[in-house]
Amino acid sequence: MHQLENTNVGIESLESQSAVGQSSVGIPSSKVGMWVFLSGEVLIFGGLIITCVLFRLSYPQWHEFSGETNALTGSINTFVLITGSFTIVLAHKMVDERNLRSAYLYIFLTIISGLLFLAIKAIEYAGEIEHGYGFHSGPFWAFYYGLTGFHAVHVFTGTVINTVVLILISRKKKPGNPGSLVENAGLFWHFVDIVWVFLLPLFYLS
Amino acid sequence: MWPKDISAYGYWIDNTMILVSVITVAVAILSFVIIGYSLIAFRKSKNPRATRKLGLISKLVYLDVVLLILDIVMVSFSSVGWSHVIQGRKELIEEHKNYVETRVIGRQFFWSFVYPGLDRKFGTNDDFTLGNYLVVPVDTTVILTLTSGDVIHSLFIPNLRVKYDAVPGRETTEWFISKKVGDYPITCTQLCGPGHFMMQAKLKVVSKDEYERFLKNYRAWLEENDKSEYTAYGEYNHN
Amino acid sequence: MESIITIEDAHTEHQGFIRRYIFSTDHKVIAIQYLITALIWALTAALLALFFRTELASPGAILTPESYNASVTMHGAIMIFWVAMPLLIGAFANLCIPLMVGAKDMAFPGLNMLSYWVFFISSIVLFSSFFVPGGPAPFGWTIYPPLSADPRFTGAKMGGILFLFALILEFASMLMGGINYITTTINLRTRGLSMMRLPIIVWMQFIAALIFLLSVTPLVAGVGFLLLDVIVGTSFFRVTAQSQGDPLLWQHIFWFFGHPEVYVVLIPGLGIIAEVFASHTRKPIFGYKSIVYATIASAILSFVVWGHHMFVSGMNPSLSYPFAVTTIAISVPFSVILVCLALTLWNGSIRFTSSFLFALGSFVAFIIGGLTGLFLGAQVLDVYLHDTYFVIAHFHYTIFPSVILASFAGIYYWFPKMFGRKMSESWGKVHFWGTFIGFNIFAFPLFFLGIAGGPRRYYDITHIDYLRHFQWIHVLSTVGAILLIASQAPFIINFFVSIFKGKQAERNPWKATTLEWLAESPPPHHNWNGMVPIVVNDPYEYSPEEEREDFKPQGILISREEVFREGTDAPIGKH
Repeated sequence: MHQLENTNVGIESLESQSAVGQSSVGIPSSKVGMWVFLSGEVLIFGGLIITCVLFRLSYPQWHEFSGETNALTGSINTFVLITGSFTIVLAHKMVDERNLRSAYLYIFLTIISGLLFLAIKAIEYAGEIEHGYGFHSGPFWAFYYGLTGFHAVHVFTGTVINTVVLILISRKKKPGNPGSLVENAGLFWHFVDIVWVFLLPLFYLS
Repeated sequence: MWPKDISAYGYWIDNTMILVSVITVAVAILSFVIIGYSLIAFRKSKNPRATRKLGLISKLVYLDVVLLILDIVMVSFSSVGWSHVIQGRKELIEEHKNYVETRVIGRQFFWSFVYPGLDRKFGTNDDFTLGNYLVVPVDTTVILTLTSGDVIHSLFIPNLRVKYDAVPGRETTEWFISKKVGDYPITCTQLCGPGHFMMQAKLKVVSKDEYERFLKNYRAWLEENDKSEYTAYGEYNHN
Repeated sequence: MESIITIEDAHTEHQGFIRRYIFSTDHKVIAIQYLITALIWALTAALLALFFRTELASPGAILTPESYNASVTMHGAIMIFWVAMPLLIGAFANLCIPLMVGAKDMAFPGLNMLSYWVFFISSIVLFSSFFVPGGPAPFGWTIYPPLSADPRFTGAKMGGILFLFALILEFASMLMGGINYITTTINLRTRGLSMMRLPIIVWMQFIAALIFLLSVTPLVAGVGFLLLDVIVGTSFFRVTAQSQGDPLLWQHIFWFFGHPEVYVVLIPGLGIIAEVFASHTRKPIFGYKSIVYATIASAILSFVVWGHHMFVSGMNPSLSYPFAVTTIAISVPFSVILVCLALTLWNGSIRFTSSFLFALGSFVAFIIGGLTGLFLGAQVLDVYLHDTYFVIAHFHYTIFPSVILASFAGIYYWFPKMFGRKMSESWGKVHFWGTFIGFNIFAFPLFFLGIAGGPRRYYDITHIDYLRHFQWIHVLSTVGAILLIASQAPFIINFFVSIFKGKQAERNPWKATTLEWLAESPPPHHNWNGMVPIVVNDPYEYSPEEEREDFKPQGILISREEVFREGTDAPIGKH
């Protein structure tokens, strides 16, 4: 234990699957794995968004339809998501400062922001379906529902992850390192946030 | 085995084939000789202990440089050929030279060829459509405008070295100049459903006068010249 | 902390049968699960091939055009996604990476188990598609819409949907695996094992996992859209009177994935060849660094060549110039790899075991496959050869050696490590010659059918005038395929008999250098029995000049106490 600390790698990179018990590059595996996973996710959304942009370029009626979407709820949702990103950063900071009570609060706020986002999204979809725009109403709406729906699934997943993290770190018996759990959940949440920032101009503003 | 070339630009394709074949066969023989020799000369019973030093043979890595040069030769040759094929296509469309146009529509599982008739314009009364039967004049530029009514098909005329996809929702253009009169096969090369293999058509290259007569009265012309085909393929009108 | 790790080691020894062999998190067990599942699928796909090859040799004998299309589609899709991927990426990466980097397991053992079981579910979904009304998907393994996007064109709605679902699950499974392989290679290397000391196969698996991760993700989204087209009736890729989708978009997405995917299964195959070559010629791999850099170069290039599948698709023809250049350029890094492997043979002391024969067969066949790729990269030739049997022959000459032959080499080579016993060598040789000769009789004639202009996926060529006299090629090819498939019988028997009755294998039966041979055969859970492997040499120290023994193992096993006694401040992973 004492010698491990001497290596300056610290307790975080103690790897139970490594034969020497340490990370080779000094970063915990969970974080490396998360980045690898996110790079894949970036390409999924990247591919979708590029497809969408290419389509938009050859489809002049696009802006007529994007005028039909609800820019107000879109903007509110942006604000909600960014607030969530901010609170999860604070949560991570609090865990590092061993102030677990505030950390619970901030994670809880992040979860609320996710749920709020989904609720607003549902209202928005309901409004559009009422106006008669469904999946079949042409390419714009197919892309709109496809992409924002896929993003909403990610928001939902992120909320579930945050909830699981909250339960895990608030339990008496702690599995692994709460700091890295919150950090990885935060990475995912930031990613979801960034994707939204790309979707907003594509479907609401252009 | 290699179908007879009747196309004006076919020599680009045939010569590239010869060039690439010669290069690849030479490289393959060289590598198999080296590998075969190593296997015999360095088997365990002959050479009980391996030596790390390679000596002169390690210069073989320069084979990669040779291959790089050969690659450059091949790709330039092929690209020049390609530029002849598509440059011709662009010029024809842009400058409206003297050409003959036929529209091709692929459907499950037959080809429709729409002829403009004597006025050489589409959308007029004398347009007519033949199923699976393409007639073109010899030594004349022919433009095919391809599209599809359902799934993707691909028009392949082996003797003309022509192949191009017919995609639903867009028009693609292919061109050729046939240099020999005769009957040639047309097939579909893009999987289009269970009847894919039956999607065959016939290309008939005729003299320029014949072609005029064909356009003037295609029924009489078919009666006279190709009765069997006429009855076999019949007429389709799917517009 | 040390004590915690040791307790954990002891803890895992008392698992029940189910935790140990079925829902196991042990990478070696998962590797064997992948291996067996893949072999079962390989057999299924081979039977499909037997059906349609018989059909092609005597048209109308056993299949209808519909079932012919379905068999061809399923053969291709199964061989690529449910055989090649789980064999090379599932089985060999799982087996090799943790052992060869000196780790106790993958970075995320639970995720690893999940990866296999998602794959298993995808297998079940795919298998069930054979029994739904309309039969399995008949639109070709490239899934081109609109044929695939609208069930009206094929009549196989349920089969298509199940196939696409299975595909998404399979991708998800392989992505989970990929995350593990990448993280493990980056993070769990033992002391002294720098990146440039990794065995070639670990490099290859690492690069393959990266390419897969980067290329498949857009396709996952594409498949999702295609599913919407089929189920909901949207028109992303369909063209209807109301709205115009873009069928070519799918081709771009598919081939952006498709070409790197070929390398995902090809590169690990080359890795297996390299391992077997080094240990069976008793020589270090010639040009280790060149191979690594060339592989990276080809991996990068593989992302910018997809257009060569679309020269005649209606894509802007001017795009063909850059794609032809990149395609032909990719032959340069591959020629570097192949020349390095060929020079590894020179001055070696070659042992002709079944494993080496398969590696060699793979190497030789792959040279033919690689060279014939030049024909298809040259765009004017591609106009003629596109979608003909030339493509089929070329494709089989690249994928068959790198997947099937290389996997056999790997199975014969690592079998002692997997099961603690050896496979029969004499049956192995029968297996090799049958497979290799059968394969060449099957695939080589197809080049000529392609040159004659024979389009692929044709149910029957005998009624087509200009192809009628080439029916003998189909007959010959079918004879080869039958020999090829029949030759798998000795392998199947040999494999299962050897698991239980094979000759007991020692730790290092091939006298090989890499780390996995330091472990017991088979290694216990967590591989090293409480010891720690430390790397002291480069990976292929064969026939060192100054020593009597003709190999120096890459690492040594030391006790845990020694690890912490030795200078702990030496940075890990550097030397």
